[in-house]
This record gives sequence, structure tokens and C-alpha cells, in this order.
Amino acid sequence: MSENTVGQVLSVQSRKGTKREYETVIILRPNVNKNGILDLVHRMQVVFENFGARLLKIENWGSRTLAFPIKRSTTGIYLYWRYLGGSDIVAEFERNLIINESVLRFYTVKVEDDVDPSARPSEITEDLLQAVAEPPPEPEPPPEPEHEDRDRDRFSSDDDDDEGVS
Amino acid sequence: MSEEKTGRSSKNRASLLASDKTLVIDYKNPQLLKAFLTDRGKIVPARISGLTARQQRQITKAVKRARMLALLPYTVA
Repeated sequence: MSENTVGQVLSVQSRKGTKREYETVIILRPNVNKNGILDLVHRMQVVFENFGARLLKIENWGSRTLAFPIKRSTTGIYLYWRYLGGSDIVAEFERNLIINESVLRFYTVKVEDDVDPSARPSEITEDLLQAVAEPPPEPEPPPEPEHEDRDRDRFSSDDDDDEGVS
Repeated sequence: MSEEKTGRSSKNRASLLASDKTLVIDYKNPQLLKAFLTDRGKIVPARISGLTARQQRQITKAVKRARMLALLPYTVA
């Protein structure tokens, strides 16, 4: 692949001059500190620059309990990234995540095709990056057990109906 | 045809998603997806939850994505 295709969307179906919007959720080890997160973000900004991509949004969801242990870790710090780039950005982004030892898991989803890059300005400022390194002050409220019970009752009663018919 | 004969009642259609049109099915919202799991973590079939076929496809995809990110369990012992 020649040098001039960097940052391009290499699909004949996509419109010329457009990019794709992706989002990635990263789970970091719970012992990663503020500097570790900042280091990761700054390193990724270099990757984005080299591949003509643009970081649109980055969020820290804070430390959450995992539904099951990953690499013997029961909690993890969730980072949410949203970015604009060409065909090659996801592969390079994920390659860098694999190398990083503080990353437990990551998952990338394509949000939109054929995005006009000028229509999506970046919301990233230096203040925001500092805020990302700090976990959010208020963690997610725990689920209300009342709701879950209600749903379970509804499903189980439906079950009974089905059995009655058959 | 009476409700008894078809074995289906219209009340089954009433779901969380029907009552609130603004809700978007998204893997990043595990609290919503939990309503469509059994207590063992399995996805509830559409004939029981009363979802439309399109909603069920969206829920299934979202649940599987959320499981990858450990937002939802694969199984509950």
C-alpha cells in the first residue's frame, strides 16, 4: 500500500473525501493512575495525527465492576473514544492497545459511514483531557431491584400463559 | 378471534420500549438491556417479551456487544 492512501477510506462504495466514524470502549486495569491514562491518550493522539484521523470525543466512565473477571481483574476503568478516520485507523489504534499492558479489553464499533470531516469538529481541549484522567465524581447509581423484580414477574407470568395454551 | 384462542394477548406488546419512544437500544446502556434478560442472563425470546422482530434483533446485537465489554454477564450461575 502506497503512502498516499493513509487516512483514506478504501472502499469503492464510499463517497470520495469522506471518513468513517468509529467508537471504541477500552477497559483498563483498575490500578492505572491518572498519569497512565494521560500517557495513553497522548500516545494515541500521535497515532491519530499520523493517520489523518480526528479524536471527536473521549469520556471516562469511571471504575466499574465487571460482569465477569477479565485477566483476573474484577473491576476496570472504562474509557470511551469516538473518532473519525479512514480504513486503516482501527487496525493501528487496536495494535497500539494490544501492546499496552494496562488495557484489559477493547471493542470498536463503526458508528457511521460517509461522514464529511468538516462537519464534525473535535470537542477535545486540554482541560477535557485532564478531566478524562480523573474518574467522574459520581459513579453510576446501582440498579433498583424493584424494577428487575417487576420485569421478571412479567416474563414468568407470560411463561405460564404459554404453557396453558399448549 | 378471541384472545384465548390465539394464545396471545395484546397486553404482551406493552414493553419498556413501547412506553418510551425516546429510548434507543444501545450496548452502552446495560440497565435497559437487563430488562430483556432472564435471571440466568439469557436473552428473553420475543414471543415472551413482546418485542417486534426489529427490536429483538437490535436487543440481541446490543446484549452480545455489552457482554464483550463485561457490562452484562454471559451466564449467571
